[in-house]
Amino acid sequence: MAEPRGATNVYTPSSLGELLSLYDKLPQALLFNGGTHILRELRGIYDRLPANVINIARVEDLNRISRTERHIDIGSAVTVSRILDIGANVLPRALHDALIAMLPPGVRNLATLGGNICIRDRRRTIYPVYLLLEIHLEVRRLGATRWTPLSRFAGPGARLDLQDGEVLTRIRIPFSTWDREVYRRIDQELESPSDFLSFCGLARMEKNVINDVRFAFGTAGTIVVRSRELENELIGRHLPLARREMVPVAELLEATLSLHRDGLSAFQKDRIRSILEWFLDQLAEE
Amino acid sequence: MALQEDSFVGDLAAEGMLQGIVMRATVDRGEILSISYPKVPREITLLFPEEVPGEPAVSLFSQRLPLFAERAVAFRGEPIMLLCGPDERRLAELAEEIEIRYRTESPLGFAQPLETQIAERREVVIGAPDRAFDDAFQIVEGEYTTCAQEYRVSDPPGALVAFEEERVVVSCPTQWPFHVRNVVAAVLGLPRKRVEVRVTRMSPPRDSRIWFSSVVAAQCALLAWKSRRPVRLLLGCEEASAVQPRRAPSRIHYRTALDRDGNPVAHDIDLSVDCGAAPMLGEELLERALLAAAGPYQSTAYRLRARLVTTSVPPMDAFQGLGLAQGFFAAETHASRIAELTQTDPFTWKERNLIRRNGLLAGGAIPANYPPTGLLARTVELSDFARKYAAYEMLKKRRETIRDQGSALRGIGLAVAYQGAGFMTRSDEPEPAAVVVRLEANGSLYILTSGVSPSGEARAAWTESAARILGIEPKRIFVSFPDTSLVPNSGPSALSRNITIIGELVERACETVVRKRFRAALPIEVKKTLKLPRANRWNPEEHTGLPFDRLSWAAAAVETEVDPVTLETEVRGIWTTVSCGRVMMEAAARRVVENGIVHALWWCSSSHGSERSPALFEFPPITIEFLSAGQKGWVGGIEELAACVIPSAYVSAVAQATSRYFDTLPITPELIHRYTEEP
Amino acid sequence: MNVTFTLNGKSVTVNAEPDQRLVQILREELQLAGTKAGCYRGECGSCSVLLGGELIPSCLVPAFAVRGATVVTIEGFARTREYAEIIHAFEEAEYAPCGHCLGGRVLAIHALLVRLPSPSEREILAGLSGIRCQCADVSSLLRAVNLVAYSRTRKPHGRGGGRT
Repeated sequence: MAEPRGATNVYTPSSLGELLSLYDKLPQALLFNGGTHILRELRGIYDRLPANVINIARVEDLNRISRTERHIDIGSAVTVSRILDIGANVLPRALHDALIAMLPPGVRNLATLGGNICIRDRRRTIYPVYLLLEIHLEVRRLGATRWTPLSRFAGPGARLDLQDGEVLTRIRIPFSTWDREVYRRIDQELESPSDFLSFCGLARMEKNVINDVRFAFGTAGTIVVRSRELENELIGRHLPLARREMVPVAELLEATLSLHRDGLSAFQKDRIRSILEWFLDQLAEE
Repeated sequence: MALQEDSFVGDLAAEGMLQGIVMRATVDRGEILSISYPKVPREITLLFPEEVPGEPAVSLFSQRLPLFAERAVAFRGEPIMLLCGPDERRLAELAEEIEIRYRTESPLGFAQPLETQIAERREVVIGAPDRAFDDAFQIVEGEYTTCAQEYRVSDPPGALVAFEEERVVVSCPTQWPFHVRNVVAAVLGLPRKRVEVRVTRMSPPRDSRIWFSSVVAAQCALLAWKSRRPVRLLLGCEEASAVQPRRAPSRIHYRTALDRDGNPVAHDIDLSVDCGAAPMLGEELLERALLAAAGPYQSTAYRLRARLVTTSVPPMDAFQGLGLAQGFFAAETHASRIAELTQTDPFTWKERNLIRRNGLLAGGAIPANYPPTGLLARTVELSDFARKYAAYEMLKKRRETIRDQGSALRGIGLAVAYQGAGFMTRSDEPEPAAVVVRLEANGSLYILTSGVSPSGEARAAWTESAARILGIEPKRIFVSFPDTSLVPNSGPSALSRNITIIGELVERACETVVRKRFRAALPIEVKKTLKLPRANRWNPEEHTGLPFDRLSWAAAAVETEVDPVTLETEVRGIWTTVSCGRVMMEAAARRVVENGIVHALWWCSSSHGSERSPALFEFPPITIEFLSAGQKGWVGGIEELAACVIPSAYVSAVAQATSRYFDTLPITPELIHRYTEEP
Repeated sequence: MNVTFTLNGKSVTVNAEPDQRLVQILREELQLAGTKAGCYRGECGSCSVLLGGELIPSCLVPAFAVRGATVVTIEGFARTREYAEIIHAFEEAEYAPCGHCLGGRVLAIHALLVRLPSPSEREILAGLSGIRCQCADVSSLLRAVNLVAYSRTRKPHGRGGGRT
């Protein structure tokens, strides 16, 4: 029988500088914060963590929340429950609702937005909200800092724009005023868990005219369904849309869905159509 | 006198205890070609099938489940060998290094079984069905299927076995401690009296731990025997999910001949049940399913064909409703369909055809008691069924597609069913169930039974009965800890036997104590044994006789709302009327029924018996009413009623809401999508 | 590694593998069986404890994350007045959860009421949704939580009498 592997080395930096320095030396180390995703994904309780782990939960800079008039910055180690404590009046409504839907209460006290954003192979529950709110991410390494929009950070496929030695440090959520913010998580008992869908829709209206609108769907994998072209098509339209006005909308939606021909089931596509129609109906009723 | 144990098996430890794990097959079916493993450290013990000193199987009535896949693998997860050692992590690491090579074969499925997969068969003809079909005004066909249901208990299956002097002491959660004793004794080749089973605390098992606990205990006992140390074997969460028994899937096909008024005159029923790799409890499952599939309606001519199919999945277990749930789902959904096709509302149809005094069930079964007058009517009244049904029918007729309505789609369904208690088929118990009651000189009363009461409700019921009969304060009444060395064999605590059989034995024993109390010196000990009625015993070959010595009846209305956007279903309300003879402890009975309803809803909506428990915030308003039978008389079981009556009412409600016939469980959004997209 | 933390008010030090889960440490190293091991995925809630005053699933906390922390298990919480209130409410409402989820359930109720002293029915159900065990009926649970909320705030909320 093979000799048992040695125990994991755990480093616990207390400052950002210490963290970046350490990670520069150990770029293969696992960054561990809430650890909820990491520990759930281990095959069994005896599955080991990697040889080197850097526990970032105590890094003060990563635990800060700060606000300006234009945005709120959340440290990547701030737990979901602390974020929710900011309050539904300050947090964007869609983000608040998505965070509640994402996790049960106990796990919210451990999980972090930073950890959630860094999950490579899923754009599930909350990703559409991040996308539509146009969050930006601060990524740092020893001697360098950059900001990047989420859409570039977590691009298509199971890929993150994170190089060796780089750490996600802050999540910036711009404040913006929307007349309507909707979030729905749709996963009531599914035959196939891959049929999971989440939806986020934001709109600004004036006298039933769409001044601005954004919407996106998250799936169990890395597919995110969003069409700026479709959004632009709707801007300036008067709701409710007449039947003939729905034609280009439907065509653009079908064109978007056809980009994910193999990645979305017929059932998911149909639901996406229904939910978009529902969303537009909701806007018309306001 | 030892009282109720307070620890779960996972909390127990013994000095020098080792941990055990099971190496399991990773193919659905096949043959083991070779097993190779590295040098095994001294502190780790391996056990192979050929080392079993006694009978390498778990027996249950006439069925036999091999403990191991010795050569042929019958299902994924079948045990191949056992390991134990002091360090779980090292065991897991060694297990990773064990290589097992297989020759794989195609798994045996349920959809189109081979002849060799048929483990049991029934074929019964009652009356003249062929002539009835020839003369029928209308014939209605339907096929109804149910999925496997997993019930993930909170506490993991496991056992702790230690050899204490001459005895083997087994601590485990089980609904049938004497079965565990018998199996462990047989596996170790020991006389039964050398094995002692102590039941540990457990979450309410809902009839999922009738025989599976014996498998785990036997594996653990083998490791303890070989290593000569106490061993604890606990199944991990995912392991338990993969190998624990589930509710058996079923497929039931009907052809029903109707007369001019839309009443059934003949049924041709073809029923298949998937029992997994071994037909444990198979005979009972088949009998109950067939009985229920024929419905609770006036008897007509029948052709009944049933088969138990073995497949390449772990063997199935009872689950609350054992066969009745599957049969009633089909029968009641079919009845609702007939009602609709004959343009009768379901209440009128069901009330008109429901079995009445002197009628027979399924052509030959004698109901011990008939549904009380007003059972369905009361449910209809509580739920406002008539008005809602009519309103939803009108909305249904007005819309062309489910999106036309522009609002949530509603429907309401109605069903009626019964449950018996105990086993139908075991009329000759090798060891009749027994209870001992002892009144001590100090006025305390001890109730000795191997019956287990995980939620405490049964124990409270026995205590309440004894207190009432003997006039003793409940705090002076003690129910024994189920230890097979101290208590008589009361049979399994399953299929409502705790209340109906064990509860009745407790009452009878207490009544005898009352008679003796002022004539004999204390202590007074009375033993009562179950005597099954001789007359009219159930005859499975001819499908005649008394299947159960008492029946509890229930009717339920379920109102649902389907979101036309997401096709998710929400339950708006459930109304249930129950008739179960004398109701002991109504608040407790209500809790049992409510919990059963929640689990039944889970079966209705969980795909493939998935492990997802319904989140609490999906909990609907539930109304439960008991039709009182007074303070005297028999007490009927109620644990299975919800599983028998809720699913069909749910499906009928969704059918009305979506204007589609549904004929399967579970109903998922995808299924609704498929059915509503079809022309 | 040595892990020192405050457990139920007292400082303890255990020798544990860095990635050993807190639930294993509590049960195996410290013989505190009140915290139960369940799914090891943070889904069932049976392993819930209070970490820094917050309810968390201890199966998702590795040893190295516990250093210097304050942990309260059901055994520690059982010494408090709040625990007695909750158990009393269970008895009054005839709510009898199985022993496996009892600890997690009690701590979850306490954590809920600390955050929301007068929760609505929906808030109760959502707040306790992390305890997945379906061992006992929900009506009695709602009654029990309302009783505790009432006794803490002296004002009932919503359907305090529960459902029929």
